[in-house]
Amino acid sequence: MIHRSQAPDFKVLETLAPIPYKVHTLSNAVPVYSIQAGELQVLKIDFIFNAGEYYQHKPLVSSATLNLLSEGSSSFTAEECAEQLDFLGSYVYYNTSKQSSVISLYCLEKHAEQSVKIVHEMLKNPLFLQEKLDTYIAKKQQQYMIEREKVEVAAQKLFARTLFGTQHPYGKSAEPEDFLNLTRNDIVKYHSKNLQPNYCNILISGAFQEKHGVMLETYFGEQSWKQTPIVREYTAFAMQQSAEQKHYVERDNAVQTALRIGKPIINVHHRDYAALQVLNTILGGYFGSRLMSNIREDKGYTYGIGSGIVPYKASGCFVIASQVKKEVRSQAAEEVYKELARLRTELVPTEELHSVRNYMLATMARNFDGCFALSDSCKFLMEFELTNDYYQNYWNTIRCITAQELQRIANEYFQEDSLFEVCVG
Amino acid sequence: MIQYTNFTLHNGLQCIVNTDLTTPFVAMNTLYKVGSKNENPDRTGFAHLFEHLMFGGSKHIPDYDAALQLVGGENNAFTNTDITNYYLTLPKENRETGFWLESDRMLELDFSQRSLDIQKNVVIEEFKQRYLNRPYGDAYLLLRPLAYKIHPYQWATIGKNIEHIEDATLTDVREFFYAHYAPNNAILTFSGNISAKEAECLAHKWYGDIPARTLYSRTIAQEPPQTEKRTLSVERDVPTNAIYKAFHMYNRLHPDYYACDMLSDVLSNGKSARLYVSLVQNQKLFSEINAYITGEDHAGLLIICGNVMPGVSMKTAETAIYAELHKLQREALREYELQKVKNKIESHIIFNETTILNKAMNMAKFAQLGDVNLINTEISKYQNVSVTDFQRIAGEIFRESNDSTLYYYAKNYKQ
Repeated sequence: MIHRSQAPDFKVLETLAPIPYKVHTLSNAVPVYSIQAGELQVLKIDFIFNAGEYYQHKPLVSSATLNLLSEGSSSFTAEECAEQLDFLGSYVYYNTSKQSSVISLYCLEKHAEQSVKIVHEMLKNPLFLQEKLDTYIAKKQQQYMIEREKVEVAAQKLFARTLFGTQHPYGKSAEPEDFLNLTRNDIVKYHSKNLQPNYCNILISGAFQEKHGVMLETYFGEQSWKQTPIVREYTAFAMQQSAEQKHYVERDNAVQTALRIGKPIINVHHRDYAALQVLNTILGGYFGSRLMSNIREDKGYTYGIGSGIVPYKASGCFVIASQVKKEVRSQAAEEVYKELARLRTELVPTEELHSVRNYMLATMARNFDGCFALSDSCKFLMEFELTNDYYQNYWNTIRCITAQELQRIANEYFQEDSLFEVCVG
Repeated sequence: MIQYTNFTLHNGLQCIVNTDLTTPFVAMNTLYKVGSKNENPDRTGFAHLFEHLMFGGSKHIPDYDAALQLVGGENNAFTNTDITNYYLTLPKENRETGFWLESDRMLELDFSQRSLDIQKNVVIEEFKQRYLNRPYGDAYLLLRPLAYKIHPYQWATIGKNIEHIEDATLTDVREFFYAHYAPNNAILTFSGNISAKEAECLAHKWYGDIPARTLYSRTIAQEPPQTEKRTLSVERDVPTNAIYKAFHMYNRLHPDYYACDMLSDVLSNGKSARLYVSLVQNQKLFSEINAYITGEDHAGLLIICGNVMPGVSMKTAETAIYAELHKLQREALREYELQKVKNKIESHIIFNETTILNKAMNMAKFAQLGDVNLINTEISKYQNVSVTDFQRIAGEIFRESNDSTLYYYAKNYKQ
């Protein structure tokens, strides 16, 4: 006879092995991080540039440059490039963020060299033809018009602007007229200044072998990819928070309202960061979080609500996000503030802390499981110039943090009068 | 090549185990053979609503999610027209918790009015968020009933309308559970750090005493062949015109299913695919265009949808799509192009095997189709497709009389 009311015994995870990455440097000083993991004959190669929107002089330049790399180079046309990659069954993704531009190649090991050759060619000798730029702009402009109809997109843009101001790269986003102002010259300049070995880190993971290191030297070392002598200036932008803390843009035809509440906050380099992540998880970082339990499961105001701490290189962002029934917008926000107040005034019960601890430890272990997960975790270290110690400290904080410490963090970072609120819909 | 062991408990529960000791986790997938196609036409959206209720507490465990999170588990679920699928991953040390949780909710749910009321609200908000409050969100709610006149694929999994969700009662919930949730209507799969022997032992322990149930199965009428082109025009507050085409295709086990899947790849998988090159890149008629198959168990749809560029008429856009489709009927594919699609599929299948969760889900899906070994043999079915198959199938599918088209006009743009 089994006792169904009795949960089986379980264990708390104790240790986390460090990411097994190795680093070597190509002859042009480009660092290569390599991770040998997994049994499948696949490879993922990331080219991570310390660039991104922070270094663009106009909106859209960084993403346009990245997306136009595959649209023709001195040795192949856009069509040939697409054709070859498709034939190899290789995938290249382009991702631009506030602080980095990343080109990710996924390929079968047997096609590694042919695929890498294509990436080399597109990075080194892109043509950025006017005609391709025109097509790209027309397409993007249309997608943009569709995207901005979505209340969550509009709310997110307004939220960033409110927190960081329209002059700061973290606050600025593209406006319709930016599509008209984008020129080929912007793109060429951005490429020559930023997508260069000077700012590149390579991360290779999967069925990695020594010969792949040699291959990378051939295509991305001094002989084929020289550092640029062009000096890139760094601008320290000033953040300008909105004077108004609450913003509401009504949309008559909307049946839901997108809600954002948050503020600029500390990032990975601050000693409270890991503790803040634990607190955030309790608040809105997992399915059983207080916001989900209250606003979705108890009140039924929404399909989902969550919160996050998003680290940027020069700052961070705390955001609570949801789409709620239009008529309960204020009640939903009220409940959010109540939950924040509860974190400031009451100690987190032992049971709950125990549960969040175990959940977070397992989540970390999951982020270290398998070659692509390891690769993503390693990429994070590279972007923020951290080492494995970062994850060890994070792990220890999750294991040891007390309810008292969490309450201190809540009082330091989650004061209601420091928060901004944005609603669209 | 995925190695697996399978066994069936005496109550009919089918179990499949893939052991992978390189990971410290175990993925566990529970597939119930019920989807929106099994719903009462006057109570649509029920299978999906029910999926939400499965998290509202079971006979001995009041809070599924809390119990799972406590041991470091992560889970989710989805419902489609054919199945309802629940999946989770756990640290290997705590895998028994997965058996405990999943078996209890297979045994019996805690049918509560409060949970029903809350989840109805949540699902209605999901309906609004995904289908009503976003541009083009209702396109598939409109396209399905255009393509299907008889078959229950005519409604989307979310349901025909919000009223159906509002009207659900606790009696409906209870009936639905006993009609469809049973060991003899489920498939349990594992991938990761668990041996076949351990899995079998734990399956016996936790699932062995759940009784097999008498299942209720509604007879599903097959869709009669379409005989003429169907169209529907709507006007919405969206930035640009869009076009949605649905062509009836083959069921999941039909030998021509694979060629049909590849046909959609030739049209739109990757930047060298035909529709992209011709209609987006060269003619600049669309800002984006896609072709894909719904991949459903019964005869599904091959869908082509695209956003039309400003200033381009719907007629021009549609004619250009047809020109590409006719080309596939008229001219045989070059071997090179066929090989390209095959390579892409091979790569896709290998990348798909990189996580234990995908492996557990795929094994369950193939077992539900009738043969778990399809997980290893499918690739050869794609490899065997020839250029003549292609041309024949393009001829069968891309006929006007097999076409249901939704013209989605932007207000003020109608031409």
